[in-house]
Amino acid sequence: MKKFFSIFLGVVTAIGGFVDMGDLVANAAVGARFGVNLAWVIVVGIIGIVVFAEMSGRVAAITGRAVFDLIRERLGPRAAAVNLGASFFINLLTLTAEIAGVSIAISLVASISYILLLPLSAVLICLVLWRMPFEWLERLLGILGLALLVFAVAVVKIGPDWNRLISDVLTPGVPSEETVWTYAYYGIALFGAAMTPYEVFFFSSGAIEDGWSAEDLKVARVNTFIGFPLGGLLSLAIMTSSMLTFGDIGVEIENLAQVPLPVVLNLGKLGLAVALVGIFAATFGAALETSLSAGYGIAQYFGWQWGKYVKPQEAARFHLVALMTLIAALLFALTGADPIKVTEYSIVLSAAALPLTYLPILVIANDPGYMGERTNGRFTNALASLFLVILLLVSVAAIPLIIITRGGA
Amino acid sequence: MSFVNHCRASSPNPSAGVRPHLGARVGRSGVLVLAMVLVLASASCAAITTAPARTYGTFVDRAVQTATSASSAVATAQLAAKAGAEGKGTGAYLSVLIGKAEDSLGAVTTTFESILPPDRRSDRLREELAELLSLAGDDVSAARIAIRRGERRQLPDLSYALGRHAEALTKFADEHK
Repeated sequence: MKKFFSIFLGVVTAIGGFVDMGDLVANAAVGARFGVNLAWVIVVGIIGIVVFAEMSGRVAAITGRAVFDLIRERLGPRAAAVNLGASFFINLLTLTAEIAGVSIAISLVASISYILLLPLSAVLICLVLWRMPFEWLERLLGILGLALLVFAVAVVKIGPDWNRLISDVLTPGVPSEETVWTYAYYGIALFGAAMTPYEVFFFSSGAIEDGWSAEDLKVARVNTFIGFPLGGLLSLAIMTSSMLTFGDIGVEIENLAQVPLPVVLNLGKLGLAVALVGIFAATFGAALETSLSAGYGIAQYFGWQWGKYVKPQEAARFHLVALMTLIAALLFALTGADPIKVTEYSIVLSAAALPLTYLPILVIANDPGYMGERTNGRFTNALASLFLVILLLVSVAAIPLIIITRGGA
Repeated sequence: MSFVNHCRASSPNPSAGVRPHLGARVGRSGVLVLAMVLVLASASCAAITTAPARTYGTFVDRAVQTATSASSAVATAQLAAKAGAEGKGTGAYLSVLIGKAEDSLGAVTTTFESILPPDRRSDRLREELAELLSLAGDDVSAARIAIRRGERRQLPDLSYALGRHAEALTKFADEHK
């Protein structure tokens, strides 16, 4: 019973924790502009994140060491430094977007400019990071993130033509008013949102924080194989609700306040309250994860003591990096940079850097020197290799597409 | 094993430590190239957004872009007014939502008005669109005020009017594409 509860809680946490600011913005924007023509990208992204999250969790459980620690050792300090620099930069952009997301969620309740709420959000994130145990932090926000299921309820309430909807999902194409370049740009944005690098670093470091061993791998796999795909359903629900509400009237998603509007129009004030809880939990949870991921990455690269369970004075540099990254992101957000644009750039640029994250994981997961008998099987390697090709193509195309489409305009 | 010890157990694996470094050749030049590409990408986006219209064709493109963006903002305001009229959203939420739509409409209007029309035909196009933007802007402001004051009775009419403005802007964009 205890094991079942543990699995259930893990799956629920994975579902609720799947969506962040990038997913909220990308799915709503794509739904309004392309309908469900890019829904297939979410499916591809979920398969990718499941394959690599399982791999990184297995590596952490078997070696007892987190990803960056191993990347530096396996790839050498120079390549690992490039990897670290790119990941840290994207992490900083993502954290900026998440802090803005938290502030906007509060501003939609308090009707105060989100800029004024940014310092409050940063202090709140800092306090929770400091005081809340890792397990609580992960589970509480994951469970609250389930409130985003209200988007699925809104879709059901709208009552679309399900046959046509399914047909549109299964027969995607470039809408007549769009170019193949914007289609590709938003496809990459969705892919980047689903496979954000910090998720893998956090997952891997979290496995160490939770003290995983080989015995925990079954539970971890269930969480990954069931939780992430179900979390992807939240993304699809956001995309579909956005398409059904905004698609026919040409509304473009330019701010986070527009995202819960389909819920408001169909489920009223109660729906709005639930949606805002979900958006707050999704962005707050991701802000905590990205802050910690910054600390994890740098501390693991330099071989410093790290971990949230470690007292701050025993892992001072790890905590300092997490805190300084949070302050840097806060300062960036305070410049008034458009949170939606920051989010879009963070997910597209993260797509550009994806091979830097996932190639080393694949190399290490195949190294018997680290993994013993737990190296990848043929099927996993075939799938991971296929994804690596996709990641390379996405990586090469991402920045030219930003230029060609003028940032998706 | 305590957690602290668990985390400290990060000494190099002896069997793996002798492996060659895959990325030994990756140096600073890669980072510099990446930085330059990022700067170029940002600069190109900014340059295209603020470039002047030197021909009628370019001016029409800018007008169509403006009408499309304005239509999106006005349609959002219409949905906010509709939600307010039906008592479906909180005042705080709808205020922020319609305030953002108003800001967005104001920004595209200001940007369009700052573009110098290159010829007489452009003058006429500019006047036509400016009037549509002005009418829409007035009703968006009226809806924002009604929402902030909690005057729900005005909102159904405003919602209808905003819907018409959004349609007019979309029609303008379609006709000039």
